[in-house]
Amino acid sequence: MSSSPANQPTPPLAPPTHVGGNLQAGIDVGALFTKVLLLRNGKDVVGTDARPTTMEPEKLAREMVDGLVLRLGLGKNDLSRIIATGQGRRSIGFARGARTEITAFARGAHLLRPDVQVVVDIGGQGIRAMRLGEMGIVADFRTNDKCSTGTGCFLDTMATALEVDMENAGELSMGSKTPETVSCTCTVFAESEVVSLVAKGRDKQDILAGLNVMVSKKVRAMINSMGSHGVVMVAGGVAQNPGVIKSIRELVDREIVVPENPRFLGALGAAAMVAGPSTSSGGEDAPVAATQAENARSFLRALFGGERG
Amino acid sequence: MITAGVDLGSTYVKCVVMKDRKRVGHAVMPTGHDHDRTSRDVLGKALGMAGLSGDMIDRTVSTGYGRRVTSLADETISEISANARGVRWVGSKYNVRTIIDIGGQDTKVIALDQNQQMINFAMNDKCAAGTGRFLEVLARVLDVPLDDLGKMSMRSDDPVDITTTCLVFAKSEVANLIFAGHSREDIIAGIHRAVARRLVSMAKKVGVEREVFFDGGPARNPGMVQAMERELGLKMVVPELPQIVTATGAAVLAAESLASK
Repeated sequence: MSSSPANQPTPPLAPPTHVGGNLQAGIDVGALFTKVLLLRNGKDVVGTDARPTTMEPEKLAREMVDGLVLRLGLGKNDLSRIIATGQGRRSIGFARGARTEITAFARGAHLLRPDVQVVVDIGGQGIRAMRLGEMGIVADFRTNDKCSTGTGCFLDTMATALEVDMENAGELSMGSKTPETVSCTCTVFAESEVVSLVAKGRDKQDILAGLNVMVSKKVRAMINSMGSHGVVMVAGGVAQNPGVIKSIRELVDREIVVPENPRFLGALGAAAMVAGPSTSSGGEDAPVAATQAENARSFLRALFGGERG
Repeated sequence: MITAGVDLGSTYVKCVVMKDRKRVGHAVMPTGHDHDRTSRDVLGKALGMAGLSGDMIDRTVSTGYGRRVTSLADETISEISANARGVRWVGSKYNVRTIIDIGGQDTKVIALDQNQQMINFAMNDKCAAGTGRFLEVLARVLDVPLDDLGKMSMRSDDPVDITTTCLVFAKSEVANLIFAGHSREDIIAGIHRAVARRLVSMAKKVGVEREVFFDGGPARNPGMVQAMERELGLKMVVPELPQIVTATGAAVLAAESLASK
């Protein structure tokens, strides 16, 4: 997600309704990672950063936003507005508004691919699914943050048990031809099961592939609960794992699209919201004017990387 | 007539030796990796307590999740049946109508009719919340020995709310609670209350009727018992040796199956 090519024509966006600069920041404070994305003029992605969430999320987010702005050679005054999302969104006092991750992911997905009907966010501590209706407005959603199975936490726990670096786990699992069956559904019990599979000499890549199947089954259940048969976008940190995506594609009989930087979809959605006219800070976002969304979309597709696969 | 009941649980193996349907020996050992070997060791220990030898045993019944992996057993029986039979033996003085049996890796609620026959049951072995594992893992996070949880939580008068359900998330939550300066006593009391709430909501689906019998390893923990009684709003029957009720049931069933031959 590099900065915008200089030769792109300026889209006929509606005149800015804000004063004081042309950058919009989206901050997604997740359970495990905080993601920040900067947009320029509500359309060009000009910076991203992701760092582990700390006990002081506001301080961390401030540092990340300032760092990105500074890298562009700009100052705080160039930030027109800042919107926070994610489960820690309320702790970001300097943000001008807070939106649920449901709204943010939906907005991000609709901007990248207007034909997306279902969005699944596989995050560090929860899985969320949303069904998008007219103009990308959320028609229905379901969240599961009671159980860690299938989340980033789940895969982290298993990678540790397998003594595999999480970064490589996805690639490693792709080589499996015969995924192991992991029968326990609970992360805690499955961890013991994985340890005993290793003790029995089973192949790590087959165990990893079996764990990906567990994630996929959970994701499939969430997708099915949305009752739509259209295009599904899978995002969130876990969507960075190619093994999980491969397994979801094998298990779910739908068109599955994944944005190039799936962990930033929530931050993108939050940042994109501020580009539209907003009624008041902190409230629900007003719908972005259709033409404006369409303009932003064509540019984001080019600049954010569109989608993969 | 000498019989033995061996209960191979996920965390501990329990054994009871009976002579003419009276308990004469019992033992408990961590399950370890070799279930068969552990079951032999634990039987040896129980026999030692009874002053008996292995060749004197007339019949052995195994139960629990590892019941099929021991070579000791003449017969296997489900832990639900063994537990219900054990409660009839241990709690014969009481009109037990509900059994709440909390294990290391699962939890069962059994409803009995007036004749103490099983009429319904529920089992959770899908999720670590509401099992002994929840207490075991969080005790480690708190750096408190499992056996000290009870007496420490009894000193709390302000249990902390544990808001997460999943044990994986609860580990982080407890770590954060320690960091935020809450006392271990209040955190432990909060953990007991969280487990009790899950167990009681499960029990209510099956139907709670007095007397309520509470057994399984975590029933040895007086803080857990207190939290359960608060959530249920009634006093439960808690046996002196709650961990070996199911093994006792298996030993009684071994005697009954001999008698019926």
